Amino acid sequence: MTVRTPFTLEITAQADVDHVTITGIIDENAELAPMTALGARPIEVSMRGVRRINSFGVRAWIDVVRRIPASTPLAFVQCPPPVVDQCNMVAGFLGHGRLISFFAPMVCAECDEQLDQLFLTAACRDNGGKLPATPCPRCGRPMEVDDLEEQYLLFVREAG
Amino acid sequence: MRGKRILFFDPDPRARRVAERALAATGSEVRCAADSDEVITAMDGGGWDLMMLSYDPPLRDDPRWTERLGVFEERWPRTKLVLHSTAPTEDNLPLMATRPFLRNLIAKNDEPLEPDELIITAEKLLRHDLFGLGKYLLWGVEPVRIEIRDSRKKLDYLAEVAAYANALGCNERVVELVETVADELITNAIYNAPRTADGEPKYARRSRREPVELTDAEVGQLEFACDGDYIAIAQIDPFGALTQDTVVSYLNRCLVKGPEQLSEASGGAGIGLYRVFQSLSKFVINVEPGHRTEVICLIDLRLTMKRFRQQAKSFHIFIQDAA
Repeated sequence: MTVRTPFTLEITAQADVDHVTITGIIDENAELAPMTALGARPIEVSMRGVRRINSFGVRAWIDVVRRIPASTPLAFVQCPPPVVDQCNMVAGFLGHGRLISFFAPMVCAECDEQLDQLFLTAACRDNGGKLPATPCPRCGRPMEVDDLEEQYLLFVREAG
Repeated sequence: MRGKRILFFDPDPRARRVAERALAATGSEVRCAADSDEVITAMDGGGWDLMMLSYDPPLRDDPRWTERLGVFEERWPRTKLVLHSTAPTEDNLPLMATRPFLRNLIAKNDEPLEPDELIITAEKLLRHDLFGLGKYLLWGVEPVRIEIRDSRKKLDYLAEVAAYANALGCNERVVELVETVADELITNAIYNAPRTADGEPKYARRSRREPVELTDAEVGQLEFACDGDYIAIAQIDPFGALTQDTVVSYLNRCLVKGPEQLSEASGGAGIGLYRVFQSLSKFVINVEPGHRTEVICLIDLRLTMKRFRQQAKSFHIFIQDAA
């Protein structure tokens, strides 16, 4: 059962980076403004808990990431499929930032096991723009992404 | 429909068999052409109420067809045209931008063609009976209806749609597609559809953060239903202001990844429409100009996400002729 997921944005200052954790739905109710105060130090944004982004949210998000100085290192980690989809569909979704790691929806054709697997973008780039082999945790057979791999990994090629 | 004549063309004999049975079942007289020469000759013979033609090679690349498509509206003003194609719908949208009489594209995927879609499309065009989500679902399916009145209640509306999809056993990504479609349709009904007495957009320029409560005369409706194969989400507004030009131009602009995707010219509706389009299998827009619009989105539940992404999407705009 999907429950209504409130938007949260939490900023924690770590040793040499400002860490931002975002969860929920990015829409007209999402308060993204605290991110615009960042930029003095490198920023790492964890997006694992983002469930969905609507069209207003896309615009608001792009507006916010554009305000982060281009000189500030900006990294996105643990991006779930809804975020990866936006990166692939909408120009400038990550601003000048780099997508470091992401989840891909994997499925086993043999035993129908399904899971979201975390991958490093660099590992995909090193693997010729493809996902590294992922054995099924249940039967050991190779899993495949439940999406068009070429389309899902468009951001890897664009960033390359 | 009795007394009507339909010309169907597809070089694939399986598609012709499906179409012949399906369209003949409507009571119309059906002629199935098997090659370009035959269909061009039949077109030139005239007298067709509806042409349903494959827009794949060989016809697409045939200069005789290109020439006829260029003068279609003048030469066959009473004939409706429906194209079907294996190409991604995005490839054919530019054609719809320059050929306003072309409003119906049926996606042809692995299976020859869906007889239901042929029948529904033909009957809607020939009977001029356009509206109703029920046409796309099995008999007996009862849609859930929600009144769309207040932007502050959007999360409540969305929760109902999501609960419905969850109750059907849809997986997380399908529920996300359903919510994406419903979210954009609700926003459209509240902010983009309403018109002033002069026909000008009433709330389109307002920030989506600014609450809007629609008056009784402006209230829209959200409907959703499932027949096992498709989950359908529809939005109805009492304005009928949506035009083919708007829909096609917004989609064409957003399909190309770049700065135009977020253009202010659309008042925010462009990227929303694009997100809806990317989240569905069949897109149907019924418009009675100045009176009502019905946007129907159908998501094929039988497909894995991979197959869903691979499949072309059907795209229909039906416009009620003035009485």
